[in-house]
Amino acid sequence: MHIGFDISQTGSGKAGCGFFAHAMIQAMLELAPEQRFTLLPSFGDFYFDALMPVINPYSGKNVQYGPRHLSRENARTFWNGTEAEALLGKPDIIHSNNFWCPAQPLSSRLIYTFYDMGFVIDPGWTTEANRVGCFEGVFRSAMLADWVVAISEASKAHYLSVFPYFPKDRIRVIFPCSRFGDSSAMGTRPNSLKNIPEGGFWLNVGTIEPRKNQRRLVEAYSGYLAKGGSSMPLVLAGGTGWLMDDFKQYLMELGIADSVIMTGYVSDEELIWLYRNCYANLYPSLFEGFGLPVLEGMQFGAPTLTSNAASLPEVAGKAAILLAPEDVNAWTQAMLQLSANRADRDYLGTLALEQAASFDWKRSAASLLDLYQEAAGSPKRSFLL
Amino acid sequence: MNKSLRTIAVDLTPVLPGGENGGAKIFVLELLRHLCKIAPQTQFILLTQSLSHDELAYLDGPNMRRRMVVGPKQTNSLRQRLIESFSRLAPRIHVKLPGIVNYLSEKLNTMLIQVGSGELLRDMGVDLLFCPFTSPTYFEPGIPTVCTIYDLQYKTYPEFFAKEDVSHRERTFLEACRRATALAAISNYSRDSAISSANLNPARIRTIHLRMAQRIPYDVTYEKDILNRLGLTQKRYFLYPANFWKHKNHEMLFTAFGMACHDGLPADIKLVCTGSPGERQEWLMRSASMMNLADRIIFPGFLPNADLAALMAHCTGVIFPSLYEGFGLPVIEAMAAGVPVACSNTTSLPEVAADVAILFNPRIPSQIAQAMILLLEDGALCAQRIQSGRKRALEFSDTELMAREYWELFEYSLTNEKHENLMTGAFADGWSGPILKIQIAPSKCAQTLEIEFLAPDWLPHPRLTVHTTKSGKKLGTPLFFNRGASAVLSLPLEPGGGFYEVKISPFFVPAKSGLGNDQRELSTMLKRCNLLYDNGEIVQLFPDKLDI
Repeated sequence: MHIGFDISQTGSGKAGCGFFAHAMIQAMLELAPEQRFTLLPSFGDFYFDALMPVINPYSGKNVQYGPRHLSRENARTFWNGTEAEALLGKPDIIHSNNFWCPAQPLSSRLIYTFYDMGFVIDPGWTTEANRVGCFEGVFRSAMLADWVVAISEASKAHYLSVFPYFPKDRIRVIFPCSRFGDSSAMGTRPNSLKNIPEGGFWLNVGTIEPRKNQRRLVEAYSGYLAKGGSSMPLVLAGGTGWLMDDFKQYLMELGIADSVIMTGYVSDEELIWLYRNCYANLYPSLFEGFGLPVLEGMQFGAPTLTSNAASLPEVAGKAAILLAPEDVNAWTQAMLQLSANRADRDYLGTLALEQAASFDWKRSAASLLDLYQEAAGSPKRSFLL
Repeated sequence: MNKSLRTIAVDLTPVLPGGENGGAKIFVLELLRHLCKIAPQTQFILLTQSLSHDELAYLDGPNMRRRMVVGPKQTNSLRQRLIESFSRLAPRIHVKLPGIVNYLSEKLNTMLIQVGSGELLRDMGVDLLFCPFTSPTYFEPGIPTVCTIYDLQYKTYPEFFAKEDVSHRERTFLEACRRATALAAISNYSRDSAISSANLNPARIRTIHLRMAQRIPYDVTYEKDILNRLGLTQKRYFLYPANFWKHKNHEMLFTAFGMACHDGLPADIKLVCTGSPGERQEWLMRSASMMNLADRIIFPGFLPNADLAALMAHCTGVIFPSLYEGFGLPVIEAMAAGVPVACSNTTSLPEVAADVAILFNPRIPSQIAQAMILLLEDGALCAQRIQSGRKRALEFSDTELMAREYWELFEYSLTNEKHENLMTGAFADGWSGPILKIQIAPSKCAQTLEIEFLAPDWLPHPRLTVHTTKSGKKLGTPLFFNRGASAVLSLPLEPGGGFYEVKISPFFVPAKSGLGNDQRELSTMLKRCNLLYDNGEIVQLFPDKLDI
């Protein structure tokens, strides 16, 4: 089989979509040396990474690279032209991972990774330019894709509720997996946490933005301190994102600015240390397609409190305390209880390790390869008048 | 009172034949018909181009006449070339561009005009220049100018435009802001956008709403033929009257309609999308078919006004999920036709629809679906909205009132002239035309005008002469320099400021001198033009920092 695979978002600074493509292609190259892969560093004109053309992130005898475009305009010309499929060598599979959806190929089977549509729940969770591009891609996938890969059952259900006419047998759930290969890694303590004892801080991982709900989290944390919770600091690991310019001001108003540590962007090594050494990982996100910080935290034994919204119950299973993300008081109470009861906290850590083991990148990659086989062996969706 | 508004020039050169200009053309022509009625003592000179000169003949009257300023010869050849070069630059642009003004055609016209040659307005004794299509192409320093601003969609959604088009729109907007004495915006939303993005003094820009709701008069005797032809039943379909531009958000509407159908919208309820055939319509038709909604989403193509009026009069409701409007005329037209409206809660639409329409977030398909169900099922709500809608439409139908508001803005411009430093007559690429016109603001400091010329060594003429005049009177001795050389003109100015002209002769037209396709009248290159004050301050008039 000849597989064209979009790796446009796997460059440095990758986020959720990039990690998914990265983990899948790494695993597939290991599992299926007999397949031929054309990796696509440029894919469409929505996402463009100027550094992609100069790197060869994956190698192997069965690996070649698709066109490298030095500008978005070049990418646009290629991908919106009618010759793209032929110029790629008419692969059996063309798999999109970056929200952009190409025109329907004549013979290749078009596979589309669907992450989430948070932007139709609350358009304010992203920039308007990003929303326009993402919605266009997802809408086109509902018209043109031969198969859709959803990253959770919740995502699949959401897709089918927005596009109820999409054939239900053409969408399949394939879970992403942790970006960290080695579960025994110890990680590196971030400089900003020099004086914090191991096991002595609350953790929240993710860009500080409305969807990740850190506003309510710090409100809950301030309630927790006010009600006499043990004085562990709250560590927010992630850059400051969208519409959160006044976040620090908010911390001052709550009077907890001294107890909240904002590390900014952290390296993978530092992230491992944070997961390993937090008292608990708090993830009150309002909406997720999957929720990698929950799975990745569990991989390193982080006791987890997360939201009961969207895909998070699937990822957390029975290994986490699930709470309504809008219910600030419930979070305060749960933190008070957990801080007062070390044994419960340790038990959650044990459950976390078990739950994390149920997600396996080899299994995900194998089911993606199965999907390719099935797609190549069944007719394309017809797109005719 | 209006003694000094004796002659008004109106720039209609952007008008193209037929429907190519979209809604703006209809608005402008209606406005002019009423302006000449309310100001019978004023002469209106309509500046036209050959393509639409004859079509506009019906506007001729005792105090309104046309004057063709862009002739056929230039238009045909150069226009063709511009169209060709433009389509190379922007292969994804189709004939029709989004927005109420067709900026592509306007761009072509702007490029055709020989900026800096002659003194068109001064020669005609014009007291005010009105640019209803925004671009102040014929601006002359010292003549009050009023421009109409429609929308700034290119700022909010640059991805919906070709790159070239965005920079052209930006330049047009900035030029209007700087040159115009006063501006009219078609909604408060557009006015606020203009004020915040150009840092405008709010006193210089007024909202003058479009008032022309009766453009398609509702008439009960309209034949329902069109309904039969399209297989529609009265009150069993939604109507979206919009072209298939991306900001009109059809994909989201289809998604919402698909959700509503799935959730039990009765099977005989249809959605009608008017709009011109083309690539986008084809894609949307194929999408409707992929959604198994091919028989429920109807594409009637281009419709004559009477058919459109009939479709509107008999629909369940108008659904208007546009992401961006400068005004949103179809919303008012629906109200005038006595049908309920559901529309977006963004940009100008809440302002125009007020509390009459059912508002939804056009980015949330479940909200649009909910609005459709309300239009269909909530009879009491709709009856009440229809009634308030008729009143609302009446407020927007008084074209004479709109003309009076424009007239007041003209009067304001006459008495509130801006006195600031500016220069016209040079092109952004560094070439100067035959005459530079420079307006100098009064200053307490002594000031000097300094212009540096640079004559390429391949100019057709060996020697150049520069004369400077103030209000027609020659100043100092002429400046001479040869091709291949540079020269600096240094001119002490009077503290009261005033209006200066710098004539550079001879000029040449590159195309006529065997130097390519360029049709402009050019004299020499201009390196800089600065105002130097004795306190050390420098004001740069050229290169123009605003010309992006």
